[in-house]
Amino acid sequence: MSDYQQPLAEYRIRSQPYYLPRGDEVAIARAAHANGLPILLKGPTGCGKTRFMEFLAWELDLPLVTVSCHDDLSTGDLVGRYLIKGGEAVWVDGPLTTAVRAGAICYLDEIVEARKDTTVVIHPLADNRRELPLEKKGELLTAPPGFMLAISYNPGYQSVLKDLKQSTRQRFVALEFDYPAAEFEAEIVAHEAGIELPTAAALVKVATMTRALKDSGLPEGASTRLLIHAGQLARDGIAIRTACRVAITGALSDEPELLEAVDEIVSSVF
Amino acid sequence: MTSSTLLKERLPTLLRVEAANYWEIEDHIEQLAEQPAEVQQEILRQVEAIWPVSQALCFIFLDQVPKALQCLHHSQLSAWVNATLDVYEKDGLQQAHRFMAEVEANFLCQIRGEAGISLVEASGRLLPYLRGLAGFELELAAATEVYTDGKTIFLPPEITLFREKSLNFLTYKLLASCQWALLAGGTFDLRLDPEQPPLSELSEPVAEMLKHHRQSWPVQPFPANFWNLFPQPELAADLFTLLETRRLLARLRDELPGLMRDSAVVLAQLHRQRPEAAMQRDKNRLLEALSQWLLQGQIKGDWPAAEQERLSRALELLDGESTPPESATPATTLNQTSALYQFLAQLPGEYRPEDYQPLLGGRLRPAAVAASRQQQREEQRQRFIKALGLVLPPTADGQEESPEATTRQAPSPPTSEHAALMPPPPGPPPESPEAEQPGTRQPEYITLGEQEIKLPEELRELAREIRDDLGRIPEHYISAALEQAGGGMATGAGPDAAAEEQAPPAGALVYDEWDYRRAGFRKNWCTLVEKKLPPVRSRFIEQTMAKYQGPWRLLKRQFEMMRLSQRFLRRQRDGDEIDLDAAIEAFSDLRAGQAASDKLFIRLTRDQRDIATFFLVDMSYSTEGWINTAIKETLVLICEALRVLGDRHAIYGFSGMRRSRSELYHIKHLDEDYDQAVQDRISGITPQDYTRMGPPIRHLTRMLSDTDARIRLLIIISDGKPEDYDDYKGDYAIEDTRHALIEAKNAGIHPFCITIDRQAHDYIPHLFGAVNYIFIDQVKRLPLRMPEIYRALTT
Repeated sequence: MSDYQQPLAEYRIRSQPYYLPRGDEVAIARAAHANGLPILLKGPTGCGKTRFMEFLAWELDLPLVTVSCHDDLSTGDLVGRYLIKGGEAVWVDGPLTTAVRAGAICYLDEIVEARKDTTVVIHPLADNRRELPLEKKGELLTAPPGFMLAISYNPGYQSVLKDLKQSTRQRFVALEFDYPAAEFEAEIVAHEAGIELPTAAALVKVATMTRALKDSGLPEGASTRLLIHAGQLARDGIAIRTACRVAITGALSDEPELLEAVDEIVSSVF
Repeated sequence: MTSSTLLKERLPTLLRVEAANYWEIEDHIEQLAEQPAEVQQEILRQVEAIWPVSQALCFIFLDQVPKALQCLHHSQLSAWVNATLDVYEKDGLQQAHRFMAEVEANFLCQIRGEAGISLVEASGRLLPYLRGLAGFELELAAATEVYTDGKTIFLPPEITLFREKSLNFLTYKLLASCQWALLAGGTFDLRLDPEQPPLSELSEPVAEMLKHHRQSWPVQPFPANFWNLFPQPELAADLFTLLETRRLLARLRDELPGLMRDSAVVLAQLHRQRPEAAMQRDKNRLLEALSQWLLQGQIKGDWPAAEQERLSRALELLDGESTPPESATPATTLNQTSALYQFLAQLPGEYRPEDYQPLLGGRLRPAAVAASRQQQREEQRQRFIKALGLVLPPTADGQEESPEATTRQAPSPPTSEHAALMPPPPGPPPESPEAEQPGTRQPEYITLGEQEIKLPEELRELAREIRDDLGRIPEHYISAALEQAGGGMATGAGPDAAAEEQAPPAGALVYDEWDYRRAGFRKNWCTLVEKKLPPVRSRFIEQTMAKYQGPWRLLKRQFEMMRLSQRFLRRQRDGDEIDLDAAIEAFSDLRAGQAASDKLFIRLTRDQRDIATFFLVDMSYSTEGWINTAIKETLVLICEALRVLGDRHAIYGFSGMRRSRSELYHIKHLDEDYDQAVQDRISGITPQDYTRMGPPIRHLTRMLSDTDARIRLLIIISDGKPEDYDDYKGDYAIEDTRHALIEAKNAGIHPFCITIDRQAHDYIPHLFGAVNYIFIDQVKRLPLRMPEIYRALTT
């Protein structure tokens, strides 16, 4: 069967994403999928949650429908709504409905950013019913075995408003993500950015030091993603200190003293 | 001579010098009398600024100012004094004196942008850098010698090695990194025990020496105990430090290549500044040569040809015959120290430690490291015992307040034998090698007899730190906690209450205070303590509600109407549902051949009243009587009103006496329900001491800044002027309060002040800002005005 005959062909991952498993998370996610359980990915920004989902979709050979949640995301945005087209009211499926119909993976990124009343629509999908009622259309969808629901959030924000409700979180298999151990992280950075391993290891050293600055006013340390950005710039001929300054330091904070301190870290390591 | 009379007239009053003691300041006046009038004016202004901070410093200022004026323009005096006051508040009078005495080096050079950089200036950048490097909360402090005690790195107050500031900063960075490397490289961590693994690599002579001295080992921390094994410990110490520096520089080259590449200029400059080796005598000469070799790979000046062979032998020993510096350990340093010591000991002449300047700062201070570790251990122990004591259920000893229980000699309860900290089950027993690895497992439970108690997060963290340090949690920590179980009742109330009066209790917060005279902050000037208000169960709430029964009905309706929750917005371009009316209209338009609107949807919006309000009420003595009652009634009504509205709010009272005891009384936290306990606390509001408004405003500003809400309000209810028992009066108090309010505004908070007074004063608009306050002269009207004000502010 060629790609074009498959449902949601545009949502398929076409080549194997690079992902270095750090534990048994792949096995757990596979088992969760086999049992129709939804998963919750917890972890700081840029540590590989989305990449993990891509890898999982590749492994399971399923389309991956990703929704980046925002604070204006309504139920209609997820489920679907009637639109007026050429004088007729036409129902248009939202991404969640699309994924349920096709038995794909639906990944709601940064779920806590969505309005609390919106999150509730995933409840019947996330327990053993695995159903999605389309109230306005008067239709009840039952998810096929392939369908999987995944959500992610970053517990680091520590805001009262941006916490996941108990009734939501207690439906998920939780997978904790953190920055990989230094040698793995270096390997990832080297691979993704296409740079030498020693340079990648030095970038990881910078990141580790910035992560230790949490108590000194830096909300979050440099993520793996930032390291890859810096590495990519360096690979294309930008001087490494400059690459770090624009890709890491500048992205971390706006506070002049902290920026300078991170710069000092960079200039010590490189 | 008008200018001389100016000083003569005003200085004695400013300095509170009585006529009889006029001679005390006569000299100063004479010295300054020749200065032009505007200079004298400026001096007097500075005296005004310094006097309330320190009178002693004021006289030092008068002493130093004539000299300072030789190189400072009088317009620079204020900046100079400000810098001095900063030094004074940080390091005390002596340092401030020293600072003032060296106007040129300490102040002017910096103004001219030349040379020096001060530690204060550097640390904004240096401290986060260092903490990132270390991965824990290292501190920085100024000292004449460079050293570390394991918790703090001491660096010179100023570095003027180069003419460029950036290079001087780099020097700071290098020195700090080296001190960190000492800590990270394990220079202080060895135990001098030949049976332990790292020391099994010791060379034959050193191992012999250790065995030989085994019985007479001095009880000193490593490496001091090692130095003392040699006849001349100072020489051994300096050799050891030199070799450790070599080892750590290699390590830094490996780990922080960028730093070491940049620092090549610093090392070269340090090399340039060293004395010529040939000018030194005896053993010092060779040690100096080795130091220079380490810095630059060369020796300054001419080295006597006769001693060439001696030098190359010493360099061989320095470079180590077998191990390259990267793979060296402290044990290698011991071997090399011993070898070099033996070699130097053969040379004629004395060693004079005072003539030798150690590389990259000062000498190691093992005793300081040991002391700070001991202190840290003790603090950990106390925190652990206290925290664990709070978690544990009270034992029989704790519950009864018998006299035996208050004496601290009460034997530990028998249950302690059955108490043990366990890793999360199923965990390995503590003695298994896995549990020995620090940080691998955090103990999560404590078993107490049959019971299993889960440890809170904070305590687990603490337990992990202790295990990292000591390898396990000592039994007596737990038994001590058991003694205190149930909230530390065993210590008794008497001594506790007394201690509270004197020292600020743990958890006290310090805040800066604005001093308008110097247009700067007095650093860490005020201590704020959160206190509990004893609840009073009374009929006050009911009585209030009954009293305002009529107006309350109206208020309630008004507040209910503000409760916007959801509403539909029709005719939107985008929405969840089709707006039928709009759709039909659009179709008709189309049929009629007109352009149809594309606004065909209905959108549901939720206008959340995302508001957090903090009420800060005056509990000073002057509110006694009517005002106090009115404030309490106001709080009752506003709480009821906000309950209707569902807005989040918090209430705190404040009072206090002097800068060391500013008190904040908790009445209602932000997300606490308005329940019986809150009502009892409102009833319990009683006038206390004075009105120092700065610290509580700053504290609530900080709390509000951490609150997630779209609109953040700070409503302050007070009577009259801010005033405290000390010099917090008049303009000073008004300016500080005003500044605190400005700080709040800058933090994105809307402060609003309600002031109750018999008559409006001129200072009020200045104090609160023209639009941010309301003045109420009839106190009886306050309870009903308050909800109105709130409504106006938030709609």
